[in-house]
Amino acid sequence: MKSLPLYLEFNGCSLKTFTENTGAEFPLERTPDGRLTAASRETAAAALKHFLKTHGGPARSEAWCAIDARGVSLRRLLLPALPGEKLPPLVRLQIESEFPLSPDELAWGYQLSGGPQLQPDGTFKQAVLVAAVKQAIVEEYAGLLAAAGVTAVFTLAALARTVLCPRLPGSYAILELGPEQSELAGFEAGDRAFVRLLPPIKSADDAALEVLAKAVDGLRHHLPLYIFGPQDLAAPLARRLTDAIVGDPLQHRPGAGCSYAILGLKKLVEEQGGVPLTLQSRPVAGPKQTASPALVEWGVRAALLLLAVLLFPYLEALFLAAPLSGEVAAFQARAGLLETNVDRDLEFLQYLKQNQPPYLECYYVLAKAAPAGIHLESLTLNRRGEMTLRGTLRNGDQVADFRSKLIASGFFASVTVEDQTPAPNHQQVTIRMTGQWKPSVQLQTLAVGPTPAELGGETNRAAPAPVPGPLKKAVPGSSANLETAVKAPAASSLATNQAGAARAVPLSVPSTNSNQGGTN
Amino acid sequence: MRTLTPQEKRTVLYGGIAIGVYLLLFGGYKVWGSLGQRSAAYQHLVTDARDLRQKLKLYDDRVLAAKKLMDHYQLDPAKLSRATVVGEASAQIQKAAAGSGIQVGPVRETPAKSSAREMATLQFEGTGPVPAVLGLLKRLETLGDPVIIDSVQITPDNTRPGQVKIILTAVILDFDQWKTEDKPHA
Repeated sequence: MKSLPLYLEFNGCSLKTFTENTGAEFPLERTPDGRLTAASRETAAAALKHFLKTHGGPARSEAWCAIDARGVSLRRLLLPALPGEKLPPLVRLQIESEFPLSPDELAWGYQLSGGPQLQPDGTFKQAVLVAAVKQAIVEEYAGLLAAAGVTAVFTLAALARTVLCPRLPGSYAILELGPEQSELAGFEAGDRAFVRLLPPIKSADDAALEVLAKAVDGLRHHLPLYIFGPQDLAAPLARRLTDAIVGDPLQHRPGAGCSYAILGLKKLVEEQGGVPLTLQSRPVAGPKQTASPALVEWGVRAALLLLAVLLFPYLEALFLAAPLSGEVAAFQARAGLLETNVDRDLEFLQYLKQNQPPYLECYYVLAKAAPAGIHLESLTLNRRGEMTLRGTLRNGDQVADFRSKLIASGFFASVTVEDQTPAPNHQQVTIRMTGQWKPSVQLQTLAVGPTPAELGGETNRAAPAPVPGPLKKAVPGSSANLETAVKAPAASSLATNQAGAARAVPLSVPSTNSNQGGTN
Repeated sequence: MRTLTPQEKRTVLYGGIAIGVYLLLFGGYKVWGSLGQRSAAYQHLVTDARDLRQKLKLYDDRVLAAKKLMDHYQLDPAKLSRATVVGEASAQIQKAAAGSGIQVGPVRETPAKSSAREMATLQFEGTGPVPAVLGLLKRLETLGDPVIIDSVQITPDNTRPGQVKIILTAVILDFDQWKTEDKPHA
């Protein structure tokens, strides 16, 4: 949001400031040579800063400052009519030739006074009104304002007052009455212009009015006079002077911190957007506030954020390295423990598992393949996968059938009938058979064990003889299946309790009571 | 002390600024380098930690596998004692045989060769019905001892009708040989 303009006026003894409808006046003290005292500067700057802070902050988009006639030289110059951009250098040259100080030592400005006029010599001339004041004076004022955070545009208070007059003739004079000083400015059409400080007038006594009237008459050279000031002073003075009127028909009443010059400035800014004559001075060093505090604050935040982003990886390394190092050490210790314990134990258990021979599966396969009437004399298995069987069968066909079934089971890699000898009664055949079962890796892919039907039949039959716990949860092809398959006819009590007895009871163990002869 | 001329003051000022800029650049470079090294070391540490985490994650599966096997065999290798394992295994086998309904016969113990990762060999003889023999074979897996059945011989018991004689040779593994191995083999 654009802030309201700030209006200021420096005169001999005070600084007036006005914004919106509020104003303040700060006293100024000067040294004998007219400069502001340091204490006065600081006090006024602090007071102005406080005033601005309480009225919306010092950051103003516009500040307009009028200065009094102290040290000001006002002249009307007649210059060749030139386009606008070529005029300032010409004015500067003219100042250099006509003013006692060089343009660099002056704060100066100009405004056009009417349009180009044809001269008797046939050339066109342009009248310009030039105002100049010592650079030091404006710099002093600008420094004070800068200390309060204000950068102002300077102009002449006498020129600002002129806009308060409703209709100005070509030549006129303006007098402002004040308790500390009075100021007279005169403007003659096509001729000279001047501005002078006059003694103050504090009361409307005749003597003071007479003195002032004489001084004004001596300076104005019969110019029509407009008088600004308190009504009780302006009216008696106007009666003592010829061709003088109270210059403020609207009867402005400048309040606290306001003045006719500030009212003129305000009117100029509001109606024309600025002042026609600006006193240019060098930039003054002071507390610069080119950007708003909010912008500066956000800039600082953005810079800090950027810095944090850039430094984060480094700060992370700086602060988190030690804790992470501790965690890594703990992890490494744990990993070492796992390596020494879990790996070792797992390897041992896997070795144990891989070296457990499938004896029960082998018994199951033998039971399933054995023909009816076989008499087992000896069965030996070892963990190298070797099987040795000695027994008696009825004839050679059964031997061949038995071997074929063993091979067809897929359990054995090889089956060899090493010896097949007919018994003396020629009713039986005694055999010695060897076999080698397949490696455990191949056996794992082989489904060796009872079928679900066999298991179901088993569950429906009468309770078997007591069997130790682990047998109950046997894996396929485990001892529970073999229990049903491998039967000894002599063990009749068992055989009658097993469903497998009727189904596959091929393997019998001869007993001493058997009629089929003894072993071997 | 002589007052410095403006030119001398300016020279001193420029010299001071130059030295300050040099120190700032040099110190900044050093600090930046040090921070860079720390950052690189930290990143290396982070990579190590990540690798380590992956490595430990692999062990989750191994631990599960080991636990499953331990549950199956009812065996905890860490609790095995070399001094007592042979005796315990012998007692467990005989107890299991008796529990299965087998009449326990002679038990012979033979020291095995350490090169074969075996601690001892037990030969066990017994007599009983076929289901009891098969049940014993099954139960031997879950005795809680590192036992592998080396061989089984079944023959009819001529003196007891309906019963078989079993000669069982079991090997007790020397688990310490796994402990002393340098590298894991899992």
